[in-house]
Parts: sequence; structure tokens; C-alpha cells
Amino acid sequence: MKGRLKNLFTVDNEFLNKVPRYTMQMADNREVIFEGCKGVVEYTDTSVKLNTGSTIVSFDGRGLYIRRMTDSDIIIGGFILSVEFIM
Amino acid sequence: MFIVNFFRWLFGYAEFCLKSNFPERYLNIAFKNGLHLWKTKGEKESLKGCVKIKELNEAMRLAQKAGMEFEITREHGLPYLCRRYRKRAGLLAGLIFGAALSCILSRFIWNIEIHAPDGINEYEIRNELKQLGFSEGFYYTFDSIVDLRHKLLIMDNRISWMSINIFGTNAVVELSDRDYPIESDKTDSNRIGNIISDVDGTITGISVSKGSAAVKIGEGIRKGQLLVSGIIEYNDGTAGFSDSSAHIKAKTSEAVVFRLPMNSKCIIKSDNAITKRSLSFFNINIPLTLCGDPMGSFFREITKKQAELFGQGLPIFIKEEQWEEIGEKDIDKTEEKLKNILNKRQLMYEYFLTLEDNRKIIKRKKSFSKSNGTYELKVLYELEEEIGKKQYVMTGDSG
Repeated sequence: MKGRLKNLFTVDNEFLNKVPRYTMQMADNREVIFEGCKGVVEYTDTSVKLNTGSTIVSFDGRGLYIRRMTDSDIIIGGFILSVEFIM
Repeated sequence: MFIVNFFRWLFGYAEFCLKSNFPERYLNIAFKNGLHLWKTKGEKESLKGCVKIKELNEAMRLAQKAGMEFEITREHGLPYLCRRYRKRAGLLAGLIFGAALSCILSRFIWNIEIHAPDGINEYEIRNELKQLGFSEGFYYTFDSIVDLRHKLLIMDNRISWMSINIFGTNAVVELSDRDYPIESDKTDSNRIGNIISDVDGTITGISVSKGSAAVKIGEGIRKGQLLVSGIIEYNDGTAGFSDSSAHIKAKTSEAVVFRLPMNSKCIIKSDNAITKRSLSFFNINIPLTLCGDPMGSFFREITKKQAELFGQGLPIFIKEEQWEEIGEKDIDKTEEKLKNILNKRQLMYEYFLTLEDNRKIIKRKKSFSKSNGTYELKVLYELEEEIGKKQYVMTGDSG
């Protein structure tokens, strides 16, 4: 009985591994909605680097700016030329 | 986006410039503390952006805590505007006065538009409304409009429905005329009635629906003669009383004389004319020309023009009075001319004669003659018309 209840409330590790730590949604190369950001590492009009905890995601381009930011989500606007993942 | 910008302006915001070796740190701190920053622009060792006036102190405190230099570069919005002009009390007073004046003036009617149906004259309605106190410059309330509507409906029987719609300072009066029921040939069963002749003539047609006919077709009748009786005699020898109803047509004659003086005086306008102008604003007349009313015989013509702005009538009228001197002149008319005028008068008379119900001209005989300085046209008409007239017989129980 106890074993059955334990199984019922245990979350599968495999399932947890499949939940992404951060997600990105890009509208062309003009806007990116980034969920799971833990902070801004670099912010200039040519480069925005975001800390995700395990990785730094770097956006390079022209006229980059932060349109809106909360404690976990960020919207970056501008002309994005490249996205780089720095491990 | 306009709404967002408008609310930002309404509550006020400031542009700032943050100087630091690592400005990104400030961004992280600010967003972690729930600060709302926008238009952020990262430059080398500086960060520019905007912050709400409400969060400005918090933004400065965080910058101080992080050891960064925080500078307000520009201030926007209504709170800053009020602070800037707080010493100019006249401006505020003017603003309040202007708003109050606008509120008060918008309660007045500046222009009245009347949409009347064909049977009702717009000018008459305007006069009736004026009598009830509703004219340009009327201060309206909802109750006064409802009251006015009821009063006019009682005052003018021709109106069956009306509404007064207020659009800003314009009043649009919509009217509907009354549809009268078609009068049917009703008879009163409680009264005894005869039909008598209204004129002299010869009967040409009888159609009796109630009562008994006392005349026949082709009979000559005199004015006041009994045509249809309300006393009905039955075959069994008994008699009954009832109201009578019938259409009796007869051939009648009528003589009409049209006269015209051979020498007549005619009123003509002379070259002497005076023009007076005045400006009417909310029923206040301001004269624009400095001259009084001229003495003597004058013909006065008044024209009123309403000032308009973008096709919308304003309560400003320019009244122009044209005074033209008139005098009498003797005119000798020729026989031909007099004949023409008399013929026209006769045609006009005939037009109105035939407008009456059940009157038809069968024949006419014309003759022209001169007598005592007048020219006469005698016309003898032969008509066919309805000649019956109701006459009630007094009974003991009738009211």
C-alpha cells in the first residue's frame, strides 16, 4: 500500500529531464521572447548576453534593445544576426 | 500603444542615464525588484532608459546601493507640467473658468432644426415653440424638454408625435402629423332627421340609403324643400321614424360678376431705398447701421441669414431690412388688358369652385359690359352639385 502511494506521488526523472530550462521564441530575426533568463550579462546595442544558469545565450546584431523584462522573462528587439550558446 | 504612452504621460516619467562599469548589473537588480523600465539602451559603460515617477526613488536607491551614478536627464508628464506652472495661478484659474464656461454654455440651445412633414409649416412650429419659451438661448434640462414636448402636443392638434433630440447645442425637432379618420356616412339612430334642399334647382340623381324620398328625378325644387323624409310608412299602414341618409344631385345655376375699374391706381416702388442691418445674438439685436425707421410710405423686406461654421448653424443672425419708398400712379388699362385680367380671375374662381366636393360645371355663359367706369364680366354657370342638407326634427326625448 505504502509502495503504491509512493509511486503515485513520485515524479519520473525522465519527465523532469525533458522539461526545458529555458525557451526561445523568435519572430523573424527582429524579436526574441526568452523565458528562463536569470540575468543580463552584457547589454550593448550590438550584443545582448543572457544568463540561463547553465548556459550563456548571446545575441549579436544591430540596434539591439530590451523591450521588456521581468525576473525570468525578457523580450529583445532589434536586428538579430546570430545566436550563440556559450557553455 | 497610444493608450500606454498616454497613461505614462498622465502619471509622469523620467529619462535617466546610469554610469557604471557594469550597467547590466543594474538591469538585473531593477527587474528583480519589480521596477518597470522601458526604452532601455545599453551603451559602453552607461545605460539609458525611462522609469515611472512613482518608482523613481526606488530606482535611485537601488543605483546608490549598487554604487552607480544615477542621473535624471529629462522629465515628462502631467505632474512635472503642474509643478512647472504651480506659481501661475492665473493659468489654472483660466483653465477652470474655460472648462466651467464650456460646461455652462453647452447647456444652452444654439440652433433649432425642425423636420416637419408636408402638412405642417415649419415657421408655425417655430413660433409655437417660441411661445412656449423654446428658442435660441434656451437653457435646457431633461425635464424641461419632456415638458415642452407635452405642451406642444397639447397646443397643436395637427401633431401626433414629436421628439426633441439634443445633439450638443443643437436641437432637432422631429414631427409627425395626425392622420384623421375618414368620415363615414353615419346616421344617428336616436334622432329623426330629414334632408332638405340647400339651393334651388332640378333633381338629376337620387340615391337614398335611409329614409323615404320625397322628390323624383326631373322635379324642380326650391331652397328648403324636403328631399328625403325621416318618417317611413310601411306596407301594413304603420309608420316609423329614423335618421335619413341620401345623396341628392341637382342641376343648379349661379351668376358671378367680376369687376375691374377702368382707371386704376398702381403702387410702385421708387428709387429711394434704405438698408438697415443688425446682428442678432441670442435674441439680442445689435444695430450695425445708424439710422432710424424712415417716415412715409415704405415697403419693408426683411431677410435673416444665419451664420454657419463647418456647415453647422450658429445662434448668430444677420438681419437685413430693405426699406423701399412706394408711391401711387394712375394707370389707364385698355379693353384687351382688362378682358385678359377678368378671364384670369374667372379661371381662378372656377378652379376653386371645382375644388369643392361634388360640384361640377356643366355649362357657362360669359358676357362683357361697361358701366360707370368699371368693366364687368358676367358669367352664368350651370352646375351639378350635391344639394342635400340635414335637418333634425325636434323630439321630446332628444337632448
